[in-house]
Amino acid sequence: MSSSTLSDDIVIHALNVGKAYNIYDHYEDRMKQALFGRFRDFHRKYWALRDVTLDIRRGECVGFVGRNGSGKTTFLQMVCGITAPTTGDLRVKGNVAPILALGATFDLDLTGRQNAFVSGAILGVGRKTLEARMDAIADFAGLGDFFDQPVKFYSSGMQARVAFAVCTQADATILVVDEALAVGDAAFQKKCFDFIHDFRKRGTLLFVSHSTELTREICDRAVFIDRGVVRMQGDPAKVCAAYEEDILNAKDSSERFEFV
Amino acid sequence: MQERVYESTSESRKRWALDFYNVFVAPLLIPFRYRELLLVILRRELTVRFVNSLFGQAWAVMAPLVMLGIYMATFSAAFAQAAGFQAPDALSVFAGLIVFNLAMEILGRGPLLMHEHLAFIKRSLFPSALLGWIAVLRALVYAGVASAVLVVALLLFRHAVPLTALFLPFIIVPLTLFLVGLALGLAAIGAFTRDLAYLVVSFSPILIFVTPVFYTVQQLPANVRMLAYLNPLTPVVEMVRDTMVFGLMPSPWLYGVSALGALLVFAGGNVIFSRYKDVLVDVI
Repeated sequence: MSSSTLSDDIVIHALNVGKAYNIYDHYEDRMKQALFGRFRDFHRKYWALRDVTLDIRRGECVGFVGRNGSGKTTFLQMVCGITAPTTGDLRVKGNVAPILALGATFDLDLTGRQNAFVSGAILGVGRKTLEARMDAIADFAGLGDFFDQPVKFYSSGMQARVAFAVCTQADATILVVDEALAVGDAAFQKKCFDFIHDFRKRGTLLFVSHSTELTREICDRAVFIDRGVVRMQGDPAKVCAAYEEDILNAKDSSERFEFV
Repeated sequence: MQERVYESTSESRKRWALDFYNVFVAPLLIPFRYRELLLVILRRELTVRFVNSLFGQAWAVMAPLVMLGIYMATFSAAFAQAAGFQAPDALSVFAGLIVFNLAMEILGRGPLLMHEHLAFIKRSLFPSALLGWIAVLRALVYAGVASAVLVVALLLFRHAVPLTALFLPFIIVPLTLFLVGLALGLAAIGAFTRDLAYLVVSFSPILIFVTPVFYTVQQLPANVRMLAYLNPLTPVVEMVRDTMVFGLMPSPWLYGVSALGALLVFAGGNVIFSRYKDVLVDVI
């Protein structure tokens, strides 16, 4: 299989992608695994995702629904290249901007502006470009004088504003939004959705939200992940309905988290 | 615009090989490839270092000044009165300490480097190998400030800086590679287990005694001199002191061996780090 089999249209190609985390019962088992792992396994595995096969086209907006710990974030982290799949093939074509945990990388002692600079650099925006776009970032964040105050004096919503504002100015072709908009107020959320609507004309969007309403509204396609397996994908209305029904019927049992 | 292509396939995950490119070339390209990011993060770290203090960045100069003052007072005055004891030269001790502190910062910080930047690694697309370079460059900046203090002190007390000081860059380059390799190797192992951090903390106080900071290798009995060179810091401390304070050129033999050793440590640290990079994300 050559690496250039991606057709021009498909930007994310996942074939039987799986992710297992090693679970150690005792700390010393880690050492044993490192030393004698080739002979025997000293851990159990937790399969966060199994056999995900998914093609996402340029310009598509795909929403992921599923309960906590079902593997949505794991999939997005793999798309971003933060964590590697355990099994299967994954190819991603494009500049990914992850909006995973807004403001997680912020240094509390630095100002919003300084942090925006760091975040922008991590997203791969050059220094000069970033300087030129800083006004637009400040404007989008809408924090006024607070933009030049240390982030430790911010509320979580204010941090999220800066973090999202930076992402709007990154040259991303794939935007990965994970539960990120929940902390903002209504006015800011509206600004974000305006941006997302606009972004859809240029790029691909992966979107995780527990609000099926939002998923229905924004996405062209929805993927329902349950216990690490893609249960259903297709028309957002149908998939969201299936997910809602599943929540109503299933009790919140802990059986779904099993180590093997 | 050039689009990035990222792939992780069952093939590509096995493909990583111990070839010349992966061991010596790729690690050297990292700081150039991410130079803009490197500079931004370095500036951030320099800004944060002395934040929330009255004197701020002045501490970068004050800390070595205070240190130099203490050593000048102790060695020039107190020891001079002790009969039969040849007091070490304060400026040469200071030169040795600059190198020693530089290495200690990396040794202490290395095992915790990944934990320190957890959010970068787990929440953003950060090239983690860059962390080693940033840590070393930050330490080098402060060593540079301390060296400037040393130069001023030399001019003040000796009215001259030896011409051999021009050789310093040729010592710093291999030293940088050595420290980056050390930082990355420690960071990789330290991410798996905190034991390394505790181990380093418990044995590092000994290092000041086995590194020729307060003495020179020449002053040691002939039969233990070779043992002193088992410490990779020994040749560096000696060379920096010789060129900066005594006006002596390092012996080509010493320089060659230590540069070769530095290159091996650099390659080794990078091999360990890139070999386990994918696993590290999931264990910290």
